[in-house]
Amino acid sequence: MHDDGISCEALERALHEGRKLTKEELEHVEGCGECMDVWLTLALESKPEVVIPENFAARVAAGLPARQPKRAIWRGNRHWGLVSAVAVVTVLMVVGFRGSPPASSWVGLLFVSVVATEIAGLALWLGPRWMGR
Amino acid sequence: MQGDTQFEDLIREHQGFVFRTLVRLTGSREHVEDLAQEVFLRLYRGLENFRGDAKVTTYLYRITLNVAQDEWKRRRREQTHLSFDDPDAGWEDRLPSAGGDVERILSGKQRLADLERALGELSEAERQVIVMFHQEELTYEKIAEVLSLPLNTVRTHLHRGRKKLKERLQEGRSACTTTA
Repeated sequence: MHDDGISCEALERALHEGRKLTKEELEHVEGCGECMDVWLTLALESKPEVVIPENFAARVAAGLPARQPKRAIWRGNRHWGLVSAVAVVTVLMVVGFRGSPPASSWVGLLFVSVVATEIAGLALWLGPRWMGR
Repeated sequence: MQGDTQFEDLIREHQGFVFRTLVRLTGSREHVEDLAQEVFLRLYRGLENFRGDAKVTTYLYRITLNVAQDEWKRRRREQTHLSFDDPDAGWEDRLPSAGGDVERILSGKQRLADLERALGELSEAERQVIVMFHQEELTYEKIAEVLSLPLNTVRTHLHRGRKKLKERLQEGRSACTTTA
């Protein structure tokens, strides 16, 4: 019991029950830490009333932008990546194996093959990314 | 399309949360429908790159908080440019209500309005944690996941936020003296 004659326990019960408080009780809540804690929790737990238009979900769904078919785009890019890779590797092979000095020894052959493989790999990997931009 | 029907169901399922959270976090019902629409549009766009390493709800909560935050910042910017000569600006609503009559100040409705105002004075993180914990009844763990914060930080924000709210609502009134 406080000096205003209001019991915190009774007041907390009233708050939980949702009973309308008197002016004196509201004044008590404002000054009493314990009762304010209960009031605050209940006030924060109360959900604000919102009016959601009945057709809101349908309207939003209808206004959504159409999705691009992802796979088709990637296949197209990969196609160009492959074309560029084949072209680069062919040119390299022709230059490397047609009488140029590095390809005349087994070391040169190995070197040209490694470089050609690397270029082909890079073209395959990067081709679709660049084309996708 | 089946995908759009599924998304429509998703909207229907979560629209309550989105509307309520936007209202509480922005402190206004103005444009809430547009903001909710923005939330679901961002979710739809984001789902294209969604890797499934988090729940869709977690992703939706994050987007809702971000949209509310953007709106909050926009309003604050506008408020600083608010002219007292503009009759449509509603500036008088933003003034403290301490000068009102006693009955009005003491009414429950007024106290709730005070609470909304006090919520608006908290930091972004404190406000978000309080709304998600109390209003939407999310667990500490879920809030930590949504906000990408450590669990203890979530607890601290909640504790500090509540303390500040209490102080602001009591507005310097002295605590009751107990008489055993």
